[in-house]
This record gives sequence, C-alpha cells and structure tokens, in this order.
Amino acid sequence: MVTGAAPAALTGGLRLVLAALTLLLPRGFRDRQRAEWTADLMTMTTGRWRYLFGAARTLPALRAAARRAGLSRGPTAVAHTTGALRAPARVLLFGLGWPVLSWVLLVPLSYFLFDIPGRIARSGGGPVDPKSLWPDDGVLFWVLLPLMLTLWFGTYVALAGGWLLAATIGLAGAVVGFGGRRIWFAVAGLGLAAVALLAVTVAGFPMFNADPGYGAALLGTIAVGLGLFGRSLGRWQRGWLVVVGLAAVAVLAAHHTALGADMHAWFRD
Amino acid sequence: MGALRMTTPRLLVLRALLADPGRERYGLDLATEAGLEPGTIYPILVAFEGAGWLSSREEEIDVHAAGRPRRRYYLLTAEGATAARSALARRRAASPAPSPGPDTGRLAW
Repeated sequence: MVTGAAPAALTGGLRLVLAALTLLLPRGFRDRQRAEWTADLMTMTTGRWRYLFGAARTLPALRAAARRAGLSRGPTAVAHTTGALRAPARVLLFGLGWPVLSWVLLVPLSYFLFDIPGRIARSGGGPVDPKSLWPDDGVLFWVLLPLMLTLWFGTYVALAGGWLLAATIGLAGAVVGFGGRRIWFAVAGLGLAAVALLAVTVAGFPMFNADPGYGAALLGTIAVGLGLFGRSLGRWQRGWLVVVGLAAVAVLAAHHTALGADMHAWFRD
Repeated sequence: MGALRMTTPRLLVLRALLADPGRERYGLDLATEAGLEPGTIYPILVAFEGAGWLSSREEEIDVHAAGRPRRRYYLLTAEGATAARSALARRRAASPAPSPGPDTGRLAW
C-alpha cells in the first residue's frame, strides 16, 4: 500500500473527490488536512479509493474534532512558525532584489556588454551618457520608459544604500505584511520606512555617500543564509535569495575596488 | 481539556504511540502501525492534539523537490503519555482476558 518510491501524481478523479472532501471541512482547517491527505495518497501505490472512502466516512468526526480543538479558525501556531521564514524571504526578494538586480543590469552588465571603457577611450576620455544606451524617442522610448525608470530608481537605491535602502526594505515589509495579513509586520515595515524617510528629509542625514555598500552586503548575507539554510522555503525562492544576496555583496565589492569606482563614476556622471 | 471518550481505534493509536513515545510519526505511518483503516486516523489525531496529548509540526522539506505537500508529524506529549498509559491500563482492567499485549496486534473486545 505505502511505498518509499517517488510520490505519484493523483488522477483527476482522486483530485476531485479530495477537493470535495476538503470543502466540507472548516475553512481554517482545509489547507492542513488537504496537505495530509494529498501527501498520503501520493505515497500510496494501492488502496487509494479505499483510503478516500475511510476519510469520507470519518469526515463528520474530523470536522467535530477540528472545531473542538480550535483548529477551524486558521493555521496553528506551528504553521506560523514554519511560515515565519517566508515573510522575511519575500521582503528581501522585493526590497533588496529590486535595487541590487537593477544595479547589476544598469551598472556592471551594461558597462561590459556595451564596452563602456572602449567608448570612453574612443571619445578621448569624455563622458558616455548611460541614457544613450536606451532609445531616446519614438514608440520604443515610451514602451520602455516604465522599465527604465524602475531600473534607474532601483540602481540609485543600491548605490545610496543606508537610509534609502532601509526605506525600501520597510516599504517591502509593509507590502508583504498587508498581502499576508500580518498587520504587525506591515506596521513595522511602515515604521521603518517612515523613520528612514524622516531621517533624510527632516533630520538631514545624508541620502547618498553615507553607506558604501555595507547595508546591502549585510542584507545580502542574510539573503544568502536564508537561501542556503531556509529548508521550509521553495526551491525557486531559495535560488533567487542566493542570487540577490550575491548581487548585494557585489555592490559592496564595487564600492571598494578601482573597477567598481570606474563603473559608478560612469553611471553617475 | 476534559477526558476523551476511549474507543477501540483511539486505544489502538495510543498503543502504537506508546510503542516508541519519543518518535515523531505522520498520520499514514501511524495508521499502519495501529492497524487502522487508512484515511480514518485524522479525527483521532486531531482530537488528541486538541486535548494536549499530541504536539504536531509541519515537515520541513522543499515541496518542489519532494514532489508532494508537507506532512504533519505528531509526537506524544508527557501529558499524553501519562493519559495513554492510564487509558490502556483502565481498558485492561475492564476486560482482563485476553490482554492487549504488544505482540497480539489487536485490542481485545
């Protein structure tokens, strides 16, 4: 009945009955029980319909037990613990991923892909406008403008680091918090964004040149750690966390090397 | 939580859990050990968890790599172990012969 072999997909009929049984459970308990039933059925080689018949027969008892145990209202504290890594992972993917991946595309990648050192040499050391790499009028300009602005602002956040990066992380936290109905997470994110923006607007802390990549590298290290060791996260999410984390560490490296200084000078000037 | 009504399937599950109280088990695994029909164990596990006799946690796996959803692992709590032993002792006292020893495979009634 049970096998140690790779899980087998469920047929349409099994899935249909499983979905119907799940719908008859209290709303907050459905995800948990569907996962249990599905995992069991996927590892069974025979007796799947008998299993479902047994599950259907004991469904009233399961409903009653879930209600009495207080599991009908939503995920248990255990599930929250398992999901505890997901929210920080998303914050890093959005809040850190947007600036550092924009930086990768617009600074080092463009620098080498479009042979910027060669162009500068050919122009006798004169400036080469990074915007000249993009269409400057026509339909294509308007089509690409949103992408261009997104990448441009993201790159400036990565270059500035510090308060601007903190504000971005805070806003990402707010979005993730509201999206996942984690109100305190969202409030903390908004609080961080507000403090960071007040610091540069009201308190007068410098927005640029205050953080040569240390903030990004710190967050990048956390992202790499989550990517490598966050076993409860999905494979793609973990992969992207490592990519984003390494890109963030590259921002720090670029701030402290001659090549990086050349690239940043080209982009800013 | 109040005392649970003890039925034959519940006692079978308690006996299977007591066979190795420190080991985490998932539903299907435990149903097989207890000799229950597959698919019928979850009301019992949820009732025990609600009574504080079991704790549970989601399996930490990469669901994409595993190709299936996360299982839930159940572990007998200290309170659950005490309650299970006394429930089984009460049942043995109520129906002394034949005894549901660990090697009989079935509870006797």
